[in-house]
Amino acid sequence: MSLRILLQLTAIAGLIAITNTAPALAHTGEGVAGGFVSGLQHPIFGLDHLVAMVAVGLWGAFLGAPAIWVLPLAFPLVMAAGAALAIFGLPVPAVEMGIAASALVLGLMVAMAARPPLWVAAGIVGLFAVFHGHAHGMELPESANPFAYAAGFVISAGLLHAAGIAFGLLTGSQLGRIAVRGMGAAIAIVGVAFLSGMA
Amino acid sequence: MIRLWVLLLIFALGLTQPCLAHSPIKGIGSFYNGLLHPLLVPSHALLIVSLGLLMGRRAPGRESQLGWPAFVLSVCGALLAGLWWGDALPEPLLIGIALCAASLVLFDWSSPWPVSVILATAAGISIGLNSSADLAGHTASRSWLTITGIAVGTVLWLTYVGGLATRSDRPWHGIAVRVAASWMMAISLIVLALWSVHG
Repeated sequence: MSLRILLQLTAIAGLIAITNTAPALAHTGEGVAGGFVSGLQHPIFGLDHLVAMVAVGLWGAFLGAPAIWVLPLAFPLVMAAGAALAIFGLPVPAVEMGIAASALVLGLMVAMAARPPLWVAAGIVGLFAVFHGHAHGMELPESANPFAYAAGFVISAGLLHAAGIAFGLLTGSQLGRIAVRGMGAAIAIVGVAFLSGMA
Repeated sequence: MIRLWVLLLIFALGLTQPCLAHSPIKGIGSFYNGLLHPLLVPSHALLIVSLGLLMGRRAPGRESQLGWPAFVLSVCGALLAGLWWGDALPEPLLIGIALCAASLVLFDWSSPWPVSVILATAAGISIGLNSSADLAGHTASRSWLTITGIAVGTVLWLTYVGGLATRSDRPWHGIAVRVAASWMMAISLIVLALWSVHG
């Protein structure tokens, strides 16, 4: 089957799916589904989380192998450790400031096309992963279904990394590199906005 | 031109509304409930995905050749045994098995084949006993239909995940499997932390 036909069939299937959906009339925040959706939304609807997750993917793509897969592998685990700290009631100082700083630092790393050794990059990303995990973990016990909530935010963070990596692959071309570095700069600006209290 | 007409016909068929009649087979709802049960219980879904990743990554070696049938036999046996026993195993046990399976995939540790077989057997027993425990209060006929659905569904979902994990057409397939394993590990760690604090 040619690629063109495959794309056409995919588009038709998508149209069929869209035209046959019924309105979702379920409550939100209840049960397994509600908990999972809440967890899924948490990194997405939190701009500070969102830009930092994308920046991790961007930076990984910029650094190339093996960072491009080491960072998405390590981040969820360190984030889980941060969440565990919150669950155990162990405080992490200046969590919100750390999250905002993650956007600034990671954005700058991408904007300046920084290429430190892998262990340095992993260390920076791991440090900020603790802050993000702690913030997610603070909301876990109050969620409708903590298990599903945890699954939601872990998967959501991973998918945001993948989105960043996908965009970061544009660095193959000269224009793509400019676009990626520009996005890094934009992320850094968002970080400044959060640090300064403007956002 | 013919292809375009075929595509338009498919699109037109897709615009039809679904028929909302009752199923003609009495009790079939119980079977479908059983089919979906492994996905709707978060700990079971986590365990199936983690084990599926392990089985897939070890394929076509002895670990998967023996692990898959070991899982099938153990889940079927445990479902039957659970109808009489009625007690569920502690959830942390399932999470712990998932954590072990996911860690083997993530870190790409080589292990003797009995390890994978033991994990598969333990997973099958855990899922089977805990699924049967959920059927307390059901009528006999409904229970039999449900556990049949659970057995079929559990094996199918494991096979699907394992089948996806065996793919190695592209270089990133293996990385994607390890990333998925890191997600399973992260979720497991968070849930174990939750359980240790809140019970």
